[in-house]
Amino acid sequence: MSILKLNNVSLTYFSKNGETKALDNISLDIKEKEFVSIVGPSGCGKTTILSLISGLLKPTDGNIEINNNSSENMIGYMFQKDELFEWRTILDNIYLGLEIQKKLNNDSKEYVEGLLKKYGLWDFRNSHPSQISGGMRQRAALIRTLALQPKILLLDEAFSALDYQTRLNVCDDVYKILKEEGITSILVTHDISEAISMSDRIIVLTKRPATIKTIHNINLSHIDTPLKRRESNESKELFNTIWEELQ
Amino acid sequence: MKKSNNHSKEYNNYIKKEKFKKITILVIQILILVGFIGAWELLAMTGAIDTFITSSPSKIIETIGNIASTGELWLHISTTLYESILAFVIATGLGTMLAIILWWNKTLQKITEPFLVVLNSLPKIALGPMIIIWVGIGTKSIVMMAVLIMIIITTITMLNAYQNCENSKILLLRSYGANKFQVLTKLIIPNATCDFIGVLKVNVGLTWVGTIMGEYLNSRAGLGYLIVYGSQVFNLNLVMASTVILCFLAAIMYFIVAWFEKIMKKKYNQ
Repeated sequence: MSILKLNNVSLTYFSKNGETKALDNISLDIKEKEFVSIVGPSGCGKTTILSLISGLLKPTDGNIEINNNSSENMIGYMFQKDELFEWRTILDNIYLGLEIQKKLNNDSKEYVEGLLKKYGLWDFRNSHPSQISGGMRQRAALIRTLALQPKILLLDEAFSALDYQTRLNVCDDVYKILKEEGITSILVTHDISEAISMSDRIIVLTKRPATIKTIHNINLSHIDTPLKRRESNESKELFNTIWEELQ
Repeated sequence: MKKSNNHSKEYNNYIKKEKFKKITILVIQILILVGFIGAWELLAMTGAIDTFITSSPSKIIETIGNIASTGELWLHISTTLYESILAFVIATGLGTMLAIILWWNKTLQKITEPFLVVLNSLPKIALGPMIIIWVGIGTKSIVMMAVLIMIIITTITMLNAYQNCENSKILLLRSYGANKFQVLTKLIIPNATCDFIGVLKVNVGLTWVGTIMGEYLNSRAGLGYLIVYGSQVFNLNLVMASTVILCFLAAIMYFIVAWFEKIMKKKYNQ
């Protein structure tokens, strides 16, 4: 079942120096619980797509359909940096979105407590961000987003600020959590292997103004973790194909 | 990290050395103070310096005792203290509020920018006579003087701090659907805590500059009044005594702010 549809979406930025066309006629159909990655040359407008889906930007042309049946918190957003507030404890950081949407009540607190316990942050709930490791911080940022129970999660280079070792672990971590919670995910990344290892589908964009160049369906579901998928032969072949396409 | 009593010998030596350094610094500081006061007193006693011009520690204490016995000491201290605390609170509060308003309204900020820059570079003491004519002599004009000295720099510093907030953090809040007021209270203000403490520290010094300067221009009581009065009748003992009291008061107020800083830093883990 389709949960999110982009119909012929175009976006033009306006500034003093003129107008820049960032996206040109993008159409996408994303199914429920699917993991889709978007790769493309740097500066091509990958992040713009996420801004459009989240509603932070409005398309100049075309429209976006979100299959909204119940919850109003359809979309969660994860950024490159964890953006945890140093003056708040981990628990208070996780409550941030709930506070803003005025949904901090016993039910939501209990839900957060469950997430923290399930994903190993309960003992650190009263720590400040600087007191825990980079991997744990990113996990805390993910739980902060999950606290609002989104159906779709947008990940904007969500792992690229981490060192390589941590990054591989966090990828496995986040992947597992997203699959367990049944969340549809859209990842924007410049790391082709990362995209291959996590996704069901990869969308390759052209240079600015971005259009869809190719779409790759990936069938690695027989290998259970992103880390192991990175080593498979299929993923190596696919890496080369996408690499060529991006040149 | 767990504390254990089985530290290596090298570690114990290191701790000892650090402690020794700390104590040495403290001892030297005390020695300088005691030496300075002692030398001053000694030179005054032997007549090597003219106490009519330089006064002396014993005479300063005597003078303080004299004013205290007439009951006037408290009047002067409380007058100046009241003025400087009032000015400190008004200027810090109003300046921060102005900064928030300017952060909120970009257009207003652009409009006022050149005026703020000019006002900031203007020596506020030049406004003294005008202030006296407008608000009259006494407490009002003294507090006004001190407020003017602090408020512009408070506004400029806090506005800068508010604007320095990372855009990505604002984006995060907006992705939760936060309105501007929520961005302000959840992010912009707590994010600028360090800068706010910095402003408090600067203002705690400036408020004394403002009130004493105000009292120089016009006053009937206060430590600034005592200093001016003392110099006019060439009573250097009175001038020195007032200055010493001022030193103590300024130090106490500074330590209160430093203590507040410690609490805030602990709370915000910075």
